[in-house]
Amino acid sequence: MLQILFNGLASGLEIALIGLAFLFCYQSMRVINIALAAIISTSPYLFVAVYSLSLSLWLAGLICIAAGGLLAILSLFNYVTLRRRGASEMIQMVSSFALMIIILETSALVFDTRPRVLPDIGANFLLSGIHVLPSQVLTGIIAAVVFVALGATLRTRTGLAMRSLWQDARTLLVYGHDPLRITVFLFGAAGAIAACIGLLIGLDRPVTLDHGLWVLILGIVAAYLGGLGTLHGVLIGGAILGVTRSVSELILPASWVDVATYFILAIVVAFNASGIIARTDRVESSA
Amino acid sequence: MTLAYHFLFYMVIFGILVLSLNLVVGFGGLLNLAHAAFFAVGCYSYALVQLLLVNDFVLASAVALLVSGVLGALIAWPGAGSRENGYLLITLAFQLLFARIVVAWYSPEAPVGTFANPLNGPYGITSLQPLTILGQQLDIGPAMLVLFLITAGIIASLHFLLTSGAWGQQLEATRDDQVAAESLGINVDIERVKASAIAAGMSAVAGVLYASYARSVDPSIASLNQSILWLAMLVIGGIGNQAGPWIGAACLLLLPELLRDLPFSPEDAANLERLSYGLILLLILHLRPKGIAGKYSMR
Repeated sequence: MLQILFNGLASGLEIALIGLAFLFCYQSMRVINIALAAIISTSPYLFVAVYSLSLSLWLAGLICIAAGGLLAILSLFNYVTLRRRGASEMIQMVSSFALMIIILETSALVFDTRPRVLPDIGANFLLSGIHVLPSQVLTGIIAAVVFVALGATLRTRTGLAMRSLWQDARTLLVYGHDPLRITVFLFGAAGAIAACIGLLIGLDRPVTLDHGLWVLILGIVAAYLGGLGTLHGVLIGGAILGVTRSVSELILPASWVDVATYFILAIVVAFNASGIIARTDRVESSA
Repeated sequence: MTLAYHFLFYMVIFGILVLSLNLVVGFGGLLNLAHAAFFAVGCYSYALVQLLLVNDFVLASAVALLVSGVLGALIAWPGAGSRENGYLLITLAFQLLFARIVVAWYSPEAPVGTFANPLNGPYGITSLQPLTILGQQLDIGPAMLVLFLITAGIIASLHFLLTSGAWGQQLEATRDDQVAAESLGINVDIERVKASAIAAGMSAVAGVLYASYARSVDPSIASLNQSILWLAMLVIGGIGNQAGPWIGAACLLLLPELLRDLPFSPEDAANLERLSYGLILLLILHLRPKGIAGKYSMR
């Protein structure tokens, strides 16, 4: 039971990280950046291609993460251009699907579509009777770095500007900040996190080009579950989802585990629930 | 059977699909990504009615319409009133889930159509009988094309009557300003659920036509790529009007023919085809957001 709980929490951290990447884009541009799914899918393919050039494991990983950040920033310029032309959130959403198709199909043409397996980075080990995978250790380290760095950043002037951007970008302009610069940073971070997740999943099992979308959906469910807009909420949402899925795997076939996830999303959306950590908006802001 | 004949059959099927998507996206302002799932419900309904009951086009269409319509309403209900992209997320999750369940719900030992193996998993249901309507068997040919055109005519007329009447204006009001629509006494949730159910039913009828034409059904028809392709057809043709869906369907059906002579392997050609859809969609969104024949630009 302890092993199941541990696996669930490790997978919950992955889900929370992708939920965080989703939130970075959603909170700053109010768009569900589906292009992140393509970054998750493509990063293992890019990694294998770069690694085959006799680069070190870590350098190949860094190149993939940088490429992920760059792709996310390019997607931002698509949304900014559309917004300047008066496009609605819906049309930006449609464009995000177009971006996803373009990234995925370009990858398919460049790398081919065969599943990719990433090289081993270490051996499994036992910790107090629990089997720990190297990818789980790496997930823990990345999650700790991201959430601690984010927590520290939110207390600085840049962090305040970020929170202000999520509330109202025009206020930020009044105080002399450039919302686009902060948004570029957030999209870059989201893309880098998405690429990291793609690589972490690739360390565990063979991946194909179509796995990214479901991973992104899990992140979005975690963000909804934790309460849209709260960063510690997404961590709790991810943990709940990870443990629920891990426990469900004991009693349900794999495909029905996804059904359980879908029902969690449906319930949260149906009842307009504000998640576990509710946002505390002022009364007049909902008017 | 000439290529032009096949094009006409596919034009009718995809035209109906994009027209039904227009009802919910163009007039309802809701981004629906589960259309391929509703289409697949129609295809599999046709196959199962033929396998388990009787080979009759009218009965299969009625069953498909009912099952898909009810499913469309049930799927739409949780997200209909959401202002945080709930409808989009629900339909996207349902689409991904449906595609998985169709493949996973499979037992090689059990006969097709039983609870253990309802849809024959990854292999689908093949070797269906030729289309039969009121006891009359129709092979692929002019008579079948006339039946398809009559069905398309009924669906197009229904779409026109619904969207040009009072209900269509109510639906447009929910799209343009949800709060204002509510203040006028329109029940936004109910109207959106109705639109989703009708659109799902229409796409299921297109599924019945497809299954009767292809005489086989497999899980590839239920993929998210299909939903995105039809959305691309709608955006390219023009959203929120009667002609746009047909123009968009024609444009993207002709595209593979233009790429056919290029020196690529079949797999690369398929990737290149989808890449072209993506690029055309992005260009249209930036350069002509109203589409080729569009009235409403989703702005």
